[in-house]
Amino acid sequence: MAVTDEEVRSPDDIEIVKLKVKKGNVIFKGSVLALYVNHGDEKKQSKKLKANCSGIISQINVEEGNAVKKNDIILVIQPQTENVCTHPTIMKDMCAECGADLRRDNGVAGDRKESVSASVAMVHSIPELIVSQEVTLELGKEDEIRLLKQRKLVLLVDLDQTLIHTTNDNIPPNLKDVKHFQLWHGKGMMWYHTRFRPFTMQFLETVSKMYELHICTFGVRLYAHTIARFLDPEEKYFSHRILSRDECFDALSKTANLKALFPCGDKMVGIIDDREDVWNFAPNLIHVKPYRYFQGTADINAPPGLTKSEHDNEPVSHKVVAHSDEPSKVQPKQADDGGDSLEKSSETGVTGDLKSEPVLDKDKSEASEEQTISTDSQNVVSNGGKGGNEPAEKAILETEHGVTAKALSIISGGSQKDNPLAHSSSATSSQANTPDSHTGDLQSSTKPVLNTGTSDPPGSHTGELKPSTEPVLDTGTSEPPGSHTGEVNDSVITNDLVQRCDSSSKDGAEQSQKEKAEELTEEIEWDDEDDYLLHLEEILTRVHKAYYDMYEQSQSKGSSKLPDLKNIIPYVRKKVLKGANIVFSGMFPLNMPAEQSRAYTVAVALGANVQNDIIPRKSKSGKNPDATTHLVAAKPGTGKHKSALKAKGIHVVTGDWLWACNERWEWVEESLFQLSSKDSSAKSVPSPEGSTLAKKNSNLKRRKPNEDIGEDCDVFETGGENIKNNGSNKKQKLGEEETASSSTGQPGTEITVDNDDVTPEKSTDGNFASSFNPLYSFSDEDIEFMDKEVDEIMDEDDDSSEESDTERETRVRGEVLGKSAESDSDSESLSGDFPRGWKLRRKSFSPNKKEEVDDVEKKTDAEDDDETENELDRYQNNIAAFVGEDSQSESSEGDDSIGSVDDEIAEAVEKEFLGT
Amino acid sequence: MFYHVSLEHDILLHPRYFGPNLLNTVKQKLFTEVEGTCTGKYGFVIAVTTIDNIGAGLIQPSRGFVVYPVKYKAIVFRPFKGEVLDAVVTQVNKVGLFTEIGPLSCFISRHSIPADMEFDPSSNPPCYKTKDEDVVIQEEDEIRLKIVGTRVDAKDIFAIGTLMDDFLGL
Repeated sequence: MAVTDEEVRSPDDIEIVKLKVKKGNVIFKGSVLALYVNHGDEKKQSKKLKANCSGIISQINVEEGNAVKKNDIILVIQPQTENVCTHPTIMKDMCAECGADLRRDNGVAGDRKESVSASVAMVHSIPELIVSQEVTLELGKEDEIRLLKQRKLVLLVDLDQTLIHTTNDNIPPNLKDVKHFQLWHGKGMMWYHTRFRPFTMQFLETVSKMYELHICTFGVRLYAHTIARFLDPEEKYFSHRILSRDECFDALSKTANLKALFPCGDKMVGIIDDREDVWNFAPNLIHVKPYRYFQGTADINAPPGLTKSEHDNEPVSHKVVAHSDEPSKVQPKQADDGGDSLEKSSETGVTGDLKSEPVLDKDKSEASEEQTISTDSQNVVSNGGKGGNEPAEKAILETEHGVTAKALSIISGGSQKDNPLAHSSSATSSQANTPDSHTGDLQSSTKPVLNTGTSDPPGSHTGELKPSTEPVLDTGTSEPPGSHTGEVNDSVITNDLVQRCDSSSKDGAEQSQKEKAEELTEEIEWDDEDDYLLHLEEILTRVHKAYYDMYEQSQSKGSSKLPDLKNIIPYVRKKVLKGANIVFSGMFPLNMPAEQSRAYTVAVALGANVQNDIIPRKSKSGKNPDATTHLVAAKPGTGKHKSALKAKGIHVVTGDWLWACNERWEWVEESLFQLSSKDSSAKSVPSPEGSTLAKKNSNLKRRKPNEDIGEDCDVFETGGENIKNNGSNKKQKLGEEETASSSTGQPGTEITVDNDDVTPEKSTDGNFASSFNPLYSFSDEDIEFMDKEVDEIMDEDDDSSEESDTERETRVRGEVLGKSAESDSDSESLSGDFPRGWKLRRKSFSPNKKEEVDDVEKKTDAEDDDETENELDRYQNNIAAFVGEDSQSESSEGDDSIGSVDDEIAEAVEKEFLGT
Repeated sequence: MFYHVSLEHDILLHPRYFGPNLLNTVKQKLFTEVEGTCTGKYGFVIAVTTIDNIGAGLIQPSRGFVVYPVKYKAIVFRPFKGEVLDAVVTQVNKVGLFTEIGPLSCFISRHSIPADMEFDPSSNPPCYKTKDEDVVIQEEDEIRLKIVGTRVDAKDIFAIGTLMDDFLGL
């Protein structure tokens, strides 16, 4: 049967008011095509023009507002019988236009009856939704026009190590600006701790004005979306434009998705990522210096097999930026004051401290993942109660924890009495995983402390608690997971807890005898000097400007061709070192062609001219464009180095200069990277990512390398002393340090090129871990095993310790405690119904509970219990509703408990279901 | 469409629940296991209304778990082609609208959105709107749609909707 086009003719002399269809629309018989009014109709009463067959609109001859004479063709419909829909949009194997099911009977997803035109997954987060090539082109074109109109470009943003750094390791909970969340991972919930790169928010805000931002990450979907919600709670930056691992076509490369997302080509697409390989080293990629904040964790979402761990062994350490009171420094011995002044301290005071202690600010050193507790903070700490409360509260604000966490951190705020010595010793003697202690010890060691504590009247109960609580940091690590749900991590945590409690309380005891209550400020703020995003922002601004300058140029020439970011980005990069003539010395092996070396490619990419040998300036005044401007040398004393020195006017710089330029896309001041003649041991190895200005900076300032990974976070900051001194014999030095602490601030604010500081440290680096802490060399299994042991011991001791603790507490604090203990047991008895994690959590809670309990905590606990009770009640009520029927049906044994009427309906319904 | 149907479900119970509260536990477990689930045949189980009969429990050999066959009535929601429903818009993109009708997700292609409505990605949140902006569909809006197709899987139902009919849309 020949299908002839159906022409829709005007029924009368009419005026089209509104067209309801567009070309290509699928319409059905009776669909409204347009609204019209009869010509000359005074009332302007609109009538509907309806289709008298179904099909596709193939032609429209009129526009809105047109007058049409009778019998003129308004539009043409290409009639369609069944199945003529081309299925241009398909969702879950169903045509989104006609609703036809395209999946084979009993087929799996993607197993379609007929081949369809749709093939492109255009929406980031919904791979099931595919559209045909024509539609993508159409949509892509629209996007392009819109972008040009808004003068925006597209920017694909990577998450891990570009904007954020996430770890699964245990970290202190009260770290500033670290987000904690849990995601389902395999068998259980996994804790994630995410730190935003400094200036992220500012970066997004600025860049979103120039770029349409898309997230492109290898994280799983839930992770990506969770992070996106943190980064962009209002969804104004990324909206739904989030591409995650689940939607990636290729597990190893992100490039494959580009074609789908940007069907009209990626001319306007720029990329920022910390790894180039996943983008096939695309020219429109701006390679970002990887952001590392947590030690031992590179990119948790690196593609399998491509895990990037090059720098993972490098220690990352953070110095605690302590918020503490200046006055405490002056009167370090007035420990008892601390408790009194808790309330007096004000937020402003605390921040003020921060600033007033130049040492703290300047001293940012890179060390390990753990916090360094500066000895200068120790002074402060000694009557730190003043500052103590406040930072704790601050920390609360910053860590996004529930009430419990708040309570806890407040507690720990209170518990800052332990002096830093305790920390250092806990760092040395009992590293996180040493199961050398059990709760019994804890108990005994706790007691003396307690007594001293009690003797301090002002401390009130928080004060008394202090010694028994672990050092703040430790509380930190263990707490948040515990307070949240603490399923996965709990056992480990408990271990740590025990050990730490133990050692710290021992030390605390000693200490408190020496110097009554020294308090440690609670605020944990790791320094983070990463300012890369500021540079990146600058780079992106330049790229954006270059693009639209180019665009306008080509527009003015009448060319409609769009400039391509793949050309623009290299172009902008090439301008960075334009005019520089670089000679390399010792940067790569002699037998290797220069073109293959990283240094060469970087230099060329930055627009520098690479020369094989030094070309001296001919005369002093004359400018020879070919004269060598820079010698990038790995070590002094090479032939080129000497001739460069002879030639004058040549900057002799280390390789870091080049890397710094590459990182910032800026002609970095050479004087910061002068190659000193002593510098023989300086890092000559090209480490494009690692050695940067910032890094160098921090290296210089780093006084002491890391200790243990992630768990135990106490690193002692020994003022101006060199690492050598406080390395392995730290223990003995503790006492001294304590007193010497005030000298801390090696003023080192400015970047000096003197590498002497670095060198010795570097050399100790290798075996430092083992010399400092033999446990460092334990394998994971060893540590795990130890953990287990401690866990068991703790479980056994749980009850007894709890009891004695409770007694003590009752003594000290009266009813309150008793109450909490009760509620605890309540919850335990209920726990039959709880998922595993709950119980665990309770358990892990109990040993330290009384130590930490303060009012808030109790409240939350009580609430908890209330809730469960309520739930129980509700459940009982629910059940009650059924009881009547139930007993009935049970007594009559359900023979005919189903009402006949219901039965009929049910049958009818069933029939209907089966019919469909 | 909503139905009130009789259904059956087997409850597997751990021995630790054997005790005076056993039947209550069975009922509670029924609610948690059944409500909110979806079967292709009956659709989404919205709520259990009555428990008609809890059959004799059968202890499983070598495991100790006991299986109770439970007969109950529940309100179920089963979408059909041609049904007109109210939905909440959950996501708006250039390809179309995603909506939710209670537990049911439904997609509306841009071709099934009246031609006078254009996608505007630059507004926040993105929306579909007419030129004169007197009709704007964006996230969280309630719209009325007609279902043109359903994908019924064993554990889930997905629907395709359209706004191309009288009285549909906002």
